[in-house]
Amino acid sequence: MTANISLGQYLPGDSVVHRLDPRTKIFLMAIYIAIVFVVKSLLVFLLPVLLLVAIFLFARVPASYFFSALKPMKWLLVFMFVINLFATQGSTVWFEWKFIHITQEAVEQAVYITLRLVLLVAGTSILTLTTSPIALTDGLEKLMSPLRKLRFPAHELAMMMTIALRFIPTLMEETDRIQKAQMARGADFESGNIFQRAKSMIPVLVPLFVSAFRRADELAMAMESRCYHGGEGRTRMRELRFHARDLISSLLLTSILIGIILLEKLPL
Amino acid sequence: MPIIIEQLSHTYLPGSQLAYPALGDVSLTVQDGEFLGIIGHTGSGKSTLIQHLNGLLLPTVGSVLVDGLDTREKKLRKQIRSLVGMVFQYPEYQLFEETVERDVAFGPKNMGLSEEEVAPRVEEALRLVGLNPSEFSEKSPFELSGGEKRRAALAGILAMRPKYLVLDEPMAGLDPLGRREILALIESLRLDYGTGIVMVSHSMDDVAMFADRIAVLDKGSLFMVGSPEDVFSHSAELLDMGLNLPQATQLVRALRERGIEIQKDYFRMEELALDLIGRWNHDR
Amino acid sequence: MTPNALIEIVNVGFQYIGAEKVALKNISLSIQKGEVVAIVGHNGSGKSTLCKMLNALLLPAEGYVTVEGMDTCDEKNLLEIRRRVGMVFQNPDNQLVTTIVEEDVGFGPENLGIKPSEIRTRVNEALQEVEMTEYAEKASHALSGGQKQRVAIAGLLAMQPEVLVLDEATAMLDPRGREEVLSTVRKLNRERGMTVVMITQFMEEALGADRVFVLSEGRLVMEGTPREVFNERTLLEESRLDAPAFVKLRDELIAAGLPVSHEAMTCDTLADELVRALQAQTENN
Repeated sequence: MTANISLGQYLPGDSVVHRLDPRTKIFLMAIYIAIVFVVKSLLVFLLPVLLLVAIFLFARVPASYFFSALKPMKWLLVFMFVINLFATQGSTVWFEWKFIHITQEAVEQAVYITLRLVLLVAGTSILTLTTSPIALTDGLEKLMSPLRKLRFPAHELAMMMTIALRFIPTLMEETDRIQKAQMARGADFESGNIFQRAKSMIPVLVPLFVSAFRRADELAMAMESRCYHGGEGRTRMRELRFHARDLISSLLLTSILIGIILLEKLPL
Repeated sequence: MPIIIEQLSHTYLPGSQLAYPALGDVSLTVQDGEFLGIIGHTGSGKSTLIQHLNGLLLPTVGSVLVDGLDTREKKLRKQIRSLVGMVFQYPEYQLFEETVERDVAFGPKNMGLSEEEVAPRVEEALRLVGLNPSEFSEKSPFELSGGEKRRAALAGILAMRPKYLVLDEPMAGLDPLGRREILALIESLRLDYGTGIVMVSHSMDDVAMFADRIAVLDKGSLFMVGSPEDVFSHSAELLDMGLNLPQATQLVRALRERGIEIQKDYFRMEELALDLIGRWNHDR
Repeated sequence: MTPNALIEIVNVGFQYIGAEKVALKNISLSIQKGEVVAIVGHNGSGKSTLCKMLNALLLPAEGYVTVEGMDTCDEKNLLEIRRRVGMVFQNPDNQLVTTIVEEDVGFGPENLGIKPSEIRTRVNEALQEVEMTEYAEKASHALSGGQKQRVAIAGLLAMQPEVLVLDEATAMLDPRGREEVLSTVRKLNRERGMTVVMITQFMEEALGADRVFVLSEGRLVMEGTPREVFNERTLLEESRLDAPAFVKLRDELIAAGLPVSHEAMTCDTLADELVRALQAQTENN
C-alpha cells in the first residue's frame, strides 16, 4: 500500500527528459525558474507556457499529472489571484461597486502572478516526476561536492537523504502498527482537545522512537559489515556522465532565457 | 455469545487506483471458549481478518458482531475492544511506560476503571504471564529480556480481562522453551478462565496440537473451516496454497508414498507413534 | 590451531558494559573452508554476540579471533575481514540501505571502491545467483521478507566474500521465506563451496549442517555432527533447546523396539527406515 511513497512522485520512464543527467535537470530547473520570473508581458508569457507543454510532451508525462501537481496548491492559487485582483492599484478602472475597484492593471497582475505560480509548480513537478529520488540525491551530492573543500558534508547529507527515503515507508507502516496495537488496548486518538490528543500520542511516539533507534543501530551495524567507512575512496555503480543531450538542452534553454530577456527589453 | 462474522469483505483504499481487495465473503463464527486456529500463506488475508474482530478495521461489506455488538457502531467500540484482546506480532514493540506496572495498567485505565480496580488486575495479569509482581512491577519495560518483554506486553492485554484473545504469531522469535511457555499460558487461559482463543500461526504443529477448529484462508477467501482432522486430510490442497503440514502429517504422506497404508490422517506425533508401534507389535 | 581454518576463535571471553553476566566465556572453535556450521542456543545464550565477533563488529575482551590469519583486533585488517565475512542479520527491514534493489546490492562494492563497470557486473551476477534479477529496479521495502533477505545475500555476494554468516536470518520469516533463504544458502555452499555459519533457534535448520555448536549461558556446551548433538537429549533440554520432532519420534520408536537407525533425523530418512523395518518384518513372517 505504501509501495509508491518511497519513489515519491517518480514516474519511471525512458524519455529524453528521464535520461538527462540529474545535474543537468537541476540546472535546467534553475534556468526555467529564471525564465518564468523574467517574463513580464502577456504575449511573451506564451513562450514559457509553450515550453512547459513541450517538456510535458517530451517527458511523455500524461496531462493528468499537471492537474494533480496543482491540486494541493489550488487554494493558494485562488488566494493569490483574489488578493492581487483587489489590492493592486491602477488607473484604468473596469469595475466599481461601493469600496471595490477592479482595474485593468489589477487583472493583469492577478493573471501574471497566478500563471507564474502554475508554471513554477508544474515545471518543478516535472523534475520529481522524471527523476528518481536516488538520481536526484546523486545529482545533488555531485553538485555539492566542490563544497567539500569547505568541509561541507556533501556525502553525509546525500547518504542521510538516501536512508531517509528508504525508511520513510517502513516507519509509516510501523506507526500504523503501533497505533493499532494501542487502540486495541483502548487508546483513543480521536477525541478530546488538542492537548489531550497530543498527550494521547505518547503511547505511539515512545515505541516509535525506541524502534527507530533500534533500527538505526542495526542499520549502522549492517552498513559497517558491508565495509561502509564514509565517502572516502567510495565509488558509485551508477556514474553520472554528461551526454550530447545534456549540452543541447542546456544551450537551448539558456538561449530561450536570453531571447526572452531581449524580447522584454524591446519596445513592443 | 459468540463472535459472528457474516459475509465479510474488505477492500483497502476503496475507490482509488490502488484499491486492493484483501478479503472476500468470509463467514465464520468464533464460539465461546473455543480455540480457533487461523492458517494461511502470507497475504492470504489473515491479519485483515483478525483486525475486524475488535473493530480496528471495519467491513467494506458484511458485518462482524461481537456478543451481539456491531463493530461498525462507533460508541460500542470501546466495549468491543475490552471484550476482544488483541496481541499483535512482536507485542513487545508497543511497550511505552516508565514501569511495567504502569504499562500493564494502560488498557484497564482506558476502560475507565478506578485505581482500586486496576491494581489487582495488573497484579493478576503479571502473575499469569509468570512475571513476579514484586520483582517486575517497578522495573522499566525496556530493561527486560526479550522473552520477559513479550510476557509483559501480553500481561497488558490480559489485564483487560478479555473474553476473547486474538493472537498473531505469539511465539515468533522465541526459543523452543520460550515457545512452550507461551503456549502453556494460552492453554491455561482457556482452561482456567474460559477465554476464547483465536491464534494465527505459521506453525502447523502448534495449531494442530491446540486448536479445536482451524480456519484456512487462501487469497482472501475462506477455503475451509473444520477440525484439525478435517483440515489436515486436505494435505494436497494445503501444500498447493504454499502451506506446510504438521510434521506427523508429513511423515504419513512420506510413508504412503512408499507404499505403507495408513488409514488415519494423523496430525499429532504421539498418535502416529502409537500407530507405528502398534503395527510393529501386531506384525510380530 | 587447525591448519586451513578460515575462522579461528581462541579462548574468547566477552562482557557487555554494565551487564551482570558474562556474555561469552572461554569459547574456542574453528571454522574450515567450505563447511556448513550451525551455532544454536537459547535466547540470550551469547550466540549473536559470538556472531558479531566474526567480522569485528565486537572485539573479544579475552582471547582472539582470526579470519584467514588476520586478527580482528588489528584495525588495519578491518575492511579485509569485513569483505571476507558477509553477514546477514535478523531483521530484513534493517539491513537494506537504499530504496532500489540493485542500488542496495551495489552498496558494498561501492564502499570497496571498485570501478563502476565491475560493480555493475557483480550486481547482475549476484542478483542472478539469488534469483532476484527481475526485481533489480523494484523498491526494496515492498518485497517479502524472504526476498529482502535474498537481496541482502546478493549484496554480500557482490563483495565476493569467503564466508556467509547468517545471524538468525530466518527468525522473522514465514515458512516460505525461510525455505527461500535456506535453499539459496545451500545452493551457494554446494555450487560455489561457500562456507556458511548459521546462527539459529530452529533445530531443524541445524540438521543440514556439517557441524553443530551448542551455546548455553555464554559457554560452548556441545559440538559435533547433528547426529551426535541431537542424540544428547538431556543436555539439549538443559540448554533450553529441543531436538527436532523427527528425532524425538525416532527415539520413541527405537525405545519401543523398532530397528530404526540413529542416522534417521528427517522426514524422508525416517520414512525410509520405517519402510525397511516394517517390510523386513512382513517378509520374515
